[in-house]
Formats: sequence, C-alpha cells, structure tokens
Amino acid sequence: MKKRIVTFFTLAASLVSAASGADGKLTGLRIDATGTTELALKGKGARQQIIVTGKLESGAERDFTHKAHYEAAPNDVVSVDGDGVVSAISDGAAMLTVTADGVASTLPIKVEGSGSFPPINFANQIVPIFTKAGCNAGGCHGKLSGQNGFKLSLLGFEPAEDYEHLVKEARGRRVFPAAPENSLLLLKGVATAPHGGGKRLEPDSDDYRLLVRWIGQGLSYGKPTDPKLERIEVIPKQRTMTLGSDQQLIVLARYTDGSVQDVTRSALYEPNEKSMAKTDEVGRVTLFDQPGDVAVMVRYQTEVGTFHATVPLGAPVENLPAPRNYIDELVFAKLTAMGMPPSAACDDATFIRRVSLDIAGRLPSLEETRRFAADTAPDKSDKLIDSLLESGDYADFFATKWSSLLRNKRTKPADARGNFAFREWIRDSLRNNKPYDQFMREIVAASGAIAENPPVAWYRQVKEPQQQLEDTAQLFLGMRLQCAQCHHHPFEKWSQNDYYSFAAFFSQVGRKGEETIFHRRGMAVAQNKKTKQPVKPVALGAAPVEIAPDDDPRLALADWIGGKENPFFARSLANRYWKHFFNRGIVEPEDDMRETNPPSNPELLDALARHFSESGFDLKALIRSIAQSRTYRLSALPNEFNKSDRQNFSRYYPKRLPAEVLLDGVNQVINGRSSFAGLPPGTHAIALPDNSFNASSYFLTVFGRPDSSSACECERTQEASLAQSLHLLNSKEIQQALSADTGRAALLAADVRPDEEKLRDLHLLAYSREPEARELAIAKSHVEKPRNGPDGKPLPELQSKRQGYEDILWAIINTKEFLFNH
Amino acid sequence: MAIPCALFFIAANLVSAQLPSLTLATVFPAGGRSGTEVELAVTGGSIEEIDQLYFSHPGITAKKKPEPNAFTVTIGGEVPVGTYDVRVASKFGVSNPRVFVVGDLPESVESKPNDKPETAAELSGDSLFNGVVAAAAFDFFKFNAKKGERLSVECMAAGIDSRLSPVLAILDPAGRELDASRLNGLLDFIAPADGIYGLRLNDLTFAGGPEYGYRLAIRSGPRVEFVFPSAGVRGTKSRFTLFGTHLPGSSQANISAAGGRALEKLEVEIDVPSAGETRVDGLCGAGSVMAEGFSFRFKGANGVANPQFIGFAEGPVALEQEPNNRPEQAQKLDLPCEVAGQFYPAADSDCFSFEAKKGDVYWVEIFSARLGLPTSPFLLIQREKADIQEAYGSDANLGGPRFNTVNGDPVLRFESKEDGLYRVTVRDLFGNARNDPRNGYRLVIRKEKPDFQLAALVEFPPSKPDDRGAAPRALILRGGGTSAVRVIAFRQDNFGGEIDLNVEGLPPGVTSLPSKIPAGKTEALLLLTAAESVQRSIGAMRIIGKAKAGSIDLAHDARGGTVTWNIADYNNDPVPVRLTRDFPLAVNAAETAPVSVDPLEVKQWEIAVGGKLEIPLKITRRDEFKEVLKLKAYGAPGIEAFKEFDADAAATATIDLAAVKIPPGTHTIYFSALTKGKFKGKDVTLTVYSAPIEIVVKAETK
Repeated sequence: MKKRIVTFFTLAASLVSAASGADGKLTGLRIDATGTTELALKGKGARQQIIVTGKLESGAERDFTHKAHYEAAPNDVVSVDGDGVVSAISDGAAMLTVTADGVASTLPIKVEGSGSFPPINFANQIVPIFTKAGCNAGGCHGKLSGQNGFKLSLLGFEPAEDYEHLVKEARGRRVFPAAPENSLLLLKGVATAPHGGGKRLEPDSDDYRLLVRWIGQGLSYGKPTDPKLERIEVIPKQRTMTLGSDQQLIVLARYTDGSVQDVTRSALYEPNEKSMAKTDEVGRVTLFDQPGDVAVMVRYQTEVGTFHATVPLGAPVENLPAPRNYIDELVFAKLTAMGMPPSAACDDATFIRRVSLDIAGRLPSLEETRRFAADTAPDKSDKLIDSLLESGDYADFFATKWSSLLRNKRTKPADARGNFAFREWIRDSLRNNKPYDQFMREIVAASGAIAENPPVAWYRQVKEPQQQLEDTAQLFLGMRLQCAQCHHHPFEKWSQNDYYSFAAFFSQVGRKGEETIFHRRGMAVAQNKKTKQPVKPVALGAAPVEIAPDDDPRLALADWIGGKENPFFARSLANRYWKHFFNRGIVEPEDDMRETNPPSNPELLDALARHFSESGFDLKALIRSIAQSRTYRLSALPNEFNKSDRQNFSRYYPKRLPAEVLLDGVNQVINGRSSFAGLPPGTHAIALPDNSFNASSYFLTVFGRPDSSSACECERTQEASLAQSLHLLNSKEIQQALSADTGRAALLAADVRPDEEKLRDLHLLAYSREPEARELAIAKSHVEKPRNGPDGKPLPELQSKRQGYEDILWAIINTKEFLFNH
Repeated sequence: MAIPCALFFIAANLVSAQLPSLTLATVFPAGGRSGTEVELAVTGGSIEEIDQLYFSHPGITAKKKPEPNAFTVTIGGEVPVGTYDVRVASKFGVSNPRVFVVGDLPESVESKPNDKPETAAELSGDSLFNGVVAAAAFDFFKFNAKKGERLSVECMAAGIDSRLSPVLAILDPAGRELDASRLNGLLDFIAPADGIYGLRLNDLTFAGGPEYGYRLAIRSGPRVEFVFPSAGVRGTKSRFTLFGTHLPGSSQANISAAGGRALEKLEVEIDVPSAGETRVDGLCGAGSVMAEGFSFRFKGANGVANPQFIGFAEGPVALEQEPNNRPEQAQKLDLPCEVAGQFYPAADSDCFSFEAKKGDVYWVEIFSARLGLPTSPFLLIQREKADIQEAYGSDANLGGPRFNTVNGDPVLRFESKEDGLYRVTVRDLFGNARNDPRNGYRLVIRKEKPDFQLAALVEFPPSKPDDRGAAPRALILRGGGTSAVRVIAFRQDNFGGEIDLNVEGLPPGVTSLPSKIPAGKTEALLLLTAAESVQRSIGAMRIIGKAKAGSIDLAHDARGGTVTWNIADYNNDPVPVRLTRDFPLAVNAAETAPVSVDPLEVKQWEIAVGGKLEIPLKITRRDEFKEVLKLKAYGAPGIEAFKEFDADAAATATIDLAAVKIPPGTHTIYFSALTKGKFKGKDVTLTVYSAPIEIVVKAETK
C-alpha cells in the first residue's frame, strides 16, 4: 500500500514537471506595484513591495519576484532588495530595471519628502503592529479581560480604546517619551523585561523603529481629519500556479483621501487549506505538492481580502462522460482546467445504494435492488430518484437534518407536544416540497401559538434577538455573525453596527409565555452594545428599509432573505445540499460562507444557486439535478491522479453513515428492532421527532446524533472513533440483536433454501451487490462448518448454522463497505 | 385500539384525601345517531354504584345495564344533531360532564384491534367510527373513493373531552402518504383515482389509552368552514353566506381554505333567535361567556353540517370592504356599529374611519379569539398620524388558575378629545404569514353599555392549605351539608355595580340565601345548604344575577363551567376547562355531611355600626371528625379583619364592628374551616362551610 502511494506521488511530480516545461520560455516581464505607471514614494522611510510576473510562451504567468535581478539608476534615490522591496533614500527620480532569464522590464520611480518622516497616525500605523505581532489576539491582550492588567481591543478594532489603555492607563508607565526604548511596551515586546508572551518584536525591525519614533515624537493619536482606511487590495487577486511554486503578494491599503500605503508587511496571511500552501510574514505564498484550489485570507485592521491560487495537476483529461446537466458541464470544465481526470462511473449496485442513502436515509430493500438491477430502461435512475423523493423516507431524513439545525430540542417534558408538532411541520414542508423561501419565511416570521403554528417552536429555543439573528444568518445565509456581536468580524466585512442593525429585525418579537410569539407594534430598533446608539433594521449589505410601526419587521427581513437579489440565500442552501451529497461543500464548512473563504468552483456554486432560485426555490428539483448528474455518479474509487482530490469532485467522497441511518441499516440487515420509549414499535431512527431519544440510545450518541443545540451542521459528528468500532464489534446491544430468535441469523438458519442463495441475499441487502465468488466461498464454508457447543460436543446443524450466520452478519456490519456510503 | 376497560382515572388518586366525589373520565362511544339506541360504557372515580345517566337534553335517556358501568342510551328521533353533556349519577350524587354528540351518520364502534394496516377498520360510505387510540400506536382504516370524489374526514377529539391530539394521514394503496392533518383533525380529501385508500390516525405525541377516544367521521355531506358575517341581530331573519364544501346550490367562492382547496359559497337566510341557546353545541372556551349568540347547523338534503357560532349583534352588521389595508383606504363607519371582517389574507390590516365629537365615549371591542379562533387581535385608534390608543388582548384572569378566562380579544374605552375623523385599525398579531379565511372577527363600537355575564363553578375543595390541584367536580349536597359555588362576573364597559345572586329551582330541603358580588368585584361564593334529612334528587338549577346600571335592570343566568381533567399543580400545567351545557345539583341522601356548622337560629341578624354581634353556632359532627374547627368568616366587605376562632361542639361567633368594618347593608356571611377526619374509615381533609347567615348592618343614627 505504502509503495503504491510513493509511486503515485512520483508520477504526479513527473507529470507536473512535464507540464511546466511545456509552458516554454520566458517572453516578457511585468512589474506590479500600486497600479500606477510611475511608483511614487513619499516621506522618509517610504517603501513599496513590487512583484515581478513573467509571461511564458504558453501564455502562463509565473512569479519572478524572488528570482529577478533589480537595479535602480541612479543608485542614490532608492534601494531595492532581492525580495522586490523598494525603499526611498533621497528625493529624485530613478529608473528600476528588472531582469530575469535575459528578459528585462523597467519601472520609473519618484521619491519626495524623504527628508522627514510623515506624521504618525496611531490607528493606521501603530495598531497594525500589535495585530501583526499578535499582542491583541484573542488569547492575549485582546481578550475581553486583557492580559496581566493590559488590555487591547481584539485585533485592534477599537484604536481609541487601545490608545487610552496604552498611553493613559497605569499612569502612563507603558510608554516613556523621554527615553522611548525604555518604554515598558518595548521592553516587554522585545522580551528584555520578563514577558509572558515572549519576544514579539525584533529590536532592529521597522516596526520597532516606528514604535520608538512614535513614542519619541510624543505619542500622537493623529488628527480627526486624518484619512481612514477604506479597503485593502491584494495583488494579484488570483493566479494559476504550479505545484511547489511560490507567489509574492502586495497588499495595498487605500484610504479615504485617495492615498495608498503598502501594508504587505503589516498584513496577516492565512491559507484556508493548510495542506496545500503556507504563507510567511512578508506575504509570500508557497505551495506544496497538492493540486487544487487554495485561498489565502489577508487581514489588515478591519479589512479583509483574498488571494486565490489554482494549482492544476496538469494530467490529460480525456474520456469525460457526456454531461447530463449544467452541474457536469461546470465540474468537468474545472477538472479539465485542473488537469484532473475524474474517476469512472460507478455501477448500478453502488448507485442505488448511494442514492437511497443520500436521499431517503436508508438502504434499498432487497426487492428494490433486484428490480433496479433487472430494469433495462434508460431512465431507470431518474425514476429511482423520483420515487425516492416522493417517499416519506426522504421527508423523514431531511426533516432529521433540519429538525436539528432548527433546534427542535426537548429541554423539559412539557416541550414534547411542540417538538412533535415542529418536526411534523418540517417533515410535511419537505414532503410537500414547500418552496424554500416560504419555508424560511414561516420560520423567521413565525407568529402564534406552537399548537396552531408549529414553527413558533423555533423561538422557544432561540430566545434572544442576538441568537435569532445569528441562527438566521447561519441557517439561511450561510454566515457566522457571532463574532460581530462583540467586535468587528475578523474574517468578514461585517461590523458591530451591521450585527445590531440585523438584530433590529427581531426587536419587535413579542412573547406570551414560552409557546406564543407575536409582533409587538412599534419602531424596530436595536441598541449597538458598543456605541449604545440605537440602530434601525438593515439587512447585510443592503440599504436601510423604512418599516412602519404597524409592520412586522421580520416580514421585511424574510422578504430580503428570500428576495431574488439576495446573494446569499440560494447559494447557502445550494452549498448546504451539495455538501449533503458530496460530503464536501463547494464552500467548506458549508455554513461559513464569506469573502475570505471562497468556493472551490465559483461558477458551479453560482449556477446551482441560479437554477435553485429560478426554480422557485424547489428543493426536490435541486436534489434531482444533483442526483441525476454524472458527477454524482462518479465512482468513489480514485484513479491514479485524483486520490488526494478533496475539492474538485473528481470522484465521490465516501462518508460514514449518519447515526440514525446506520442504526436503521444495521436493524434492516440483522432484522433487529430498536425501541424508543413512547413511540410505536418499529419506528425508524430517521423518524425520531427530537433529540430526547439520544440519551437512551448509546448507539445514536456514539455515532454522533446531534443534540439540536445549535444551528451549525458541525454539531453532527461524522468522525469515526474507537468507541464506535467497539460498539459495533462487541456491545451487548449488537450481540443480543444478532443472536435474537427473531433476528436475521435465526431466520436464515431456519430458511430451507441453499446457503449460497441466502448469502447472496444478505450481500444484496447490506451492499446492494452480489457477493464475489471468493466472498461467497468463504462465507459458505464458515456457515456450513460444524461447531461444538460450550460442552465440547458438536452442535445440531440448525444451531451451528445459526451461529455461523451470526458471525457473517457481525462481519458484514463491521465492514467499511457497509459503514460507509461510497 | 383496545376498548376502554375499567382502567381508571389514575389522577383521581391525587385528590384522594378529599371526600369521595363522582368523576366521569370517559364515555364510550361519546355519541350516537339520532333516533337510535347506543350501548355506552363509562369510566371514572367513585362510580361503583352509578345507576343513571343525566343528559343536557331530556330527549336522550339511558337505562342501566346489568354489567357495571354500562348503559343503553336511547336518543329520541326529535333530538337535534348537536353536542350535549352527559353525567353519571348514583345515590351519592352526580359527576362532572362529558360530551355526548348526537349525529346523523350511521355509526360503528371499535370492536377489534386496528393497529396495523392489515387489520384496518373499514369505513363504508358516509359513516362514523367511535374508537380509542392506544399509547405508542396507530389506528388504521380503509375506505373506497372514486376519482375526483371529495370527502371530509373529521376526527373529533378535544370537542368530545378527549385528550387525543389527532394526526390523520391518507395513504395510497401502496401505503404512501397522500395528505396529512396534524392540527385540528380535519382533512379535505379529493381522491386522485378510483381505489381503496388507507387512513391512519395517531396522537401527536403517541400518547394513548381510554382517555384518548375519538369520533372519526368520513362524509360527502355538507361542511361549513365559516359563516359571514358571524353575527346577526336578535329576533330577525337575516342573510348570511356559508363557505364550505358540498353545499347544495352553491357557487364557487374564489377563496381557498387553509389547505389550499377551493371553497364553495351559499347564501342562506337564518332565523336569529332572540335569546342565546347554550344547551346544544355552542362556544365552550372559558373566555367565551361574553360572546352571546347561538349555534347554527346548515341542513341540506345531503345531511347536517358542522355547527357555526353566530353572535348577537347590537345593530345592523356592516361588512368589511377590501381594500382597506392602508389608512387612506379606511372604510367609513357610522357609530355606533358592528363590522364583520376577516384577518385574511396574510398580514391583513383593516382600517376603518369614523367621526366623533369631543366628549363622545365609545367602547371598541373585538370578538375573535373568544369565538374559538386561533387569533390574537390588536386594536389601534389614531387621529391623522398620531396614535391615540392601542389594545392587545386583555391579561385579566377572572377565574383564577382553576378557570383561566384570559383570551386574546382586546377591548378599549375611547373618549374623543376633539371633534374630527378617527381611524381604527384591526390586525391579527398571529396572522402575519397565515392565509386562513376562517379567521374572522367582529368589531363592535358601541355607546357605553354597562352589563355583565356570569359563570358558575363548583368550588374546588382543597385537601391541604396550599392545594394547587384542580379536578372535575359537580355540585353535590349531602344531608346537613353546605356546598359552595363560585360565581364569577365578566363586567362589560366598566360596569361596577353590585350583582345580586339568587338561586332558583332548588329541590325540597335545599336552601340558599341571596348572595352578592360586591361593587367592583368579580366573584362571590354562593352557598347551598341541605336539611339533615333529604330526598335523593338531581335536577337543573338556575343561578341568576341581577343588577342595576343606572335606571336599567340587568339580569343574566350564570353559565356553568368545569375543569375537564385533573391537574396536580396548576403552576406546572394549565388547567383544562370548558363551559358546560347545564349546571345540575344533586342531593345525596345516602350520606350525611361529616360536619355541619349552623346558626342556632335562622334569622336576619341585626347590628349597628360599631356594635358587637354574637351569633351562637351549633357544630354537628357525624363521622370521625374531631378536630377543633378554626373558623374564619367570609362574605362581606371588610370581614377579612375578623379573627379566626376555635369551635368545638358549640361556639359563639362574635363580630365586633369596631374592629371588623363591615359597611351598612344586608350581607350574607359564612364561616369556614379546613379540617381533617375519617370518612367511612378513610382519612379525609375537607372544607367545612357554615350555612349562610344574613346580617344587617345598620348605619349609626345621629
């Protein structure tokens, strides 16, 4: 096995080198800095990162920043280091010449005001140093209580407070303008004085010098008229790169007065796929040997940006299946661009098992599997998909998913009625294919008593306006806004004001007891916890809306969420459901969609969202498109190129069966029956109304059935654990069910048909496929071999066979093939 | 599922420390077809010697069968289709009521298990099935339907005092769900093809047992979803429009029921009676006492429809005219008036305008939640753009935790501060996303009209000082005993006057003194006392309240109310209650009251303000009740200051008006104590009431 992997990587690497060689020679160089034809540096110490991009014969672009040779003439105006950083020396004009592989390019540079340092603005220049050095991180001085008496605002989102704490608090002992180097701030920062956080600054660094200068110049906060940061710009935005290559980034801060500052060295970098790339402090991205897409999140003060690298494998992509629909077209286009050939199509047996588990949350019955195998109609898969979608099992399975996300949780016995009603409401909505925007609206704007209008139960668990907005955002917009309650969202553009403006939509929710919700007449308004200012309802990124005191603001919110122009609603559902089927969101995690976490196939996500929206938010139609696609039908078995693919959907990514599905599946195979207190015998685990049955089912708990405590899909754990294996291997619950008189083993032993036939059935039931000859032979000989009882005497044949079948069943439910959907 | 056996009213144990009292838990079947005989079985508490059923309609009679708790009920052909009350009675008294429905469909009674699709009970044609759902189980049925046939399936449960929350599903021949109903036990089904369909029934939370009975009707006969307007003027013949299905001669209504299916409409002329009728059908919510009106059942050649409540309007009823959602579309009204409207479609807002002169006073009231609708109306009065007044449903609970009268309907007093045009906006706070045309309302804007209505409840006998239990009870008097009825007043338009309470129709040997609900108060206890030697009896009794509002004499009969199921602690669970269709008194001649407290003399006791009144009392103890009684006095304003005193065999109650400031006038007072003892060998706690005592406090003469 190990050997095979080694071979694979060698092969991949050789393919890659062949691919880059094919790009041919360097034909030209381009220099990027601030986007202007002439680079202007202003003030003493001004500097600018530049990047040098080489154009190859094939048209491909490569980063030459760290390979190029730099020369400035005359040589006393600027200096340039080998990493492409241009620093001002004296006023004047110079010409920078960059050469690589015999190709050259030039950039005119002008330096002004080099005789004096420009005035320092605390918010724009000093605070970013603390962020870069990690001083104001959540684990350090940035936490709510600060650290050892010194508090900074989290990630520097509140510069005015930082200034207070730094300059005025503790009798000003943290900064010492008379001898700046002796300031406690710097002594601790360079760890000359004992510092729990260790050394955060180098004494010879620019940041250190800037701090010294700021303290020495008298600790200016800056003028109120000083420009404010408007946005940041990452250059380049995206690039197709080769395995193992690197790319220098430039990060420009653009200010309200139109000025631009190079903040490449002050920004923070973080790749979303750490297995694919690493970043350093100066904005250099280095790829590893894994093809795919990687995004690097760039943060500077309150602003975020991304660099998106596509790293093709470069293998020839031939024999793509004919696309069935737009999904295939876009997935295959990506695979072609990536040079990643997809796996072959799976067989019918795999497909019926896969699609039954994914849509209906159950194994296909023996009859269904046989019928499907025997059916020769070309549209048999479509018919299967339709019949699964029309089944009550589909409604049960997806109601289980939604019931948990909508927190249909039993916190006390009296909740039961509401929980049953809410679950059934969700189930009916799905069964009747209620348009998703209507589904959302009936929850978000739910009014009345739970007994009459079950979605009011959502408000029973989600009590406060903050929780309501956070859950709404996560459920229906795929966004996690939690951070913005207390501070500017670190990975997002959303501010506290955005947060509370969104919360204002829930400000008029009235309650009569726990079970009744109504609209309280009045002007919708929330208070920004930070500023203590009232804020009116504003949807994310939308214009403020005037809501009359008579109108329920939640209706306006639902209008906005479900509106065709909303960029988040359809995308988040499409991504959520995509993940359901492919075990990986186009954005991952599926409910953390943000600018800094881009989709791996944006065109695909856009198209899914567009189709979903145009269909009138038809959930079944979305599922139908996904399940009918050739992409969904790709085998889980990798070919020689796509084993490590986790983003491009070049194959089906196997997933462990969810707790309820697995329990029902085990029962189906071994003819067991779980009993749930108070429910009719034979109730399936996917039909359980709420979380209250977890406590009495170790099986459900150990396999990660969620407790309906959050709106996050992550509450359902899909990992495998030792406890799970042990439970299936040797728990009393499973052993008793295997050896029960009504169990499958007893039935099969008593069944007069030949063992071979019965074993075939068993395989069909568990795996939806016929056994291989070898499997059959081993199983048959195991069943038929004579056994002795505990007394050492041979057992009667019936009893011996029954034990044999118990063993076979035990083995089957413990195979990965059974435990996984593949 | 299983036929209700004598499995019994477990919760009765919770109050076992009280005197034994007949309680009726279930009747099965809970109804029958008009003009037929029905075999009926009952369960309950202390019902071992029951020999009689007592119905709220005299045309329904019963004979005891030899086997325990079984009766043969004869429903006279003259008994109208409707909902009635039934009680069990024995020599020990009478029980709380349960519903007994008289229908027009052929009925069957569950006789074998139908908890699996294979054992589904067959429903043939228009018919009704009486069954009981077991815990953690389904009941299955099958029926034939032709393609396009529209059938209404109705599972009566709450309406027959059952604990069942029915969930219905129609299944195709392959067992797949075609349609489901989870809220009200109603399904409007149109068969997609000829065939045999399945019907599955279960309790929402899969609870079950004898208390989870149902009446499941499947019919192609008339069904009325709502009537518009929902009020008419007493003693007139008025036109109404019925909206529903299978209404002969109807036309398409261009309106859909909540389930999305089209409704028909039919205009009919209805005789609005001049007095309310509460012995058949009717509203049963505790807060509905104020909604006067009558129940109407449409009768067509194809059968009798479900009942619709029609209220009594003060004057001609205006109909809401859409569009009126926005202030500039406000519909003009001439006051006083009544408007019939609908909270429809979703987020409907209805604006009306009216002229008022400075100083005009009107009461503005909505009837909707009290009509049994799941609404929460809201009222807003504005002048131009300024808000003048708004009203949400009142939180006032007149009946306390054992008879919660809170309902969602708002009422407000409007006094015009200047001449001009005003606007009233009506909205359903629950209706922002709901499209259900059944959710109608009556908007009443009337000149101030002080009035009241009464409800009578059997006073719950506590078994400990802070007893928070509640249980179904009926009014029973033992020989020599005194029982209490709590009468609560629903006052209209700030009516604050005193309400005199009198009882009529008492059997021989039972006496009562007039009582009164003091001015501004909302309740009083009414005491009935039986002589030591009495005859067994059971019969209707009237409690009449009389008052004066200015020069107008007001008089109203009290409507009965009852707890329907036992509750151990009303702080943990709401107490289920309803209005009753009768309020009988039973005299128990087989037992005597364990303790009696009587004045030595029956007379008017006179006393001057500031004086001292001594009332010698006689304490009679019959069973093993030996505790000294710690008597407190009640029944007159200011009497709270009277200090509790000990009474053993004989005692004198001394009321010192220097300390106990009872205002001048005639008052009916009584003494009461909680005491313990043994009744028929069992430990019992009971509240002893003295016989009522009339005192006259005379003002000081100067």
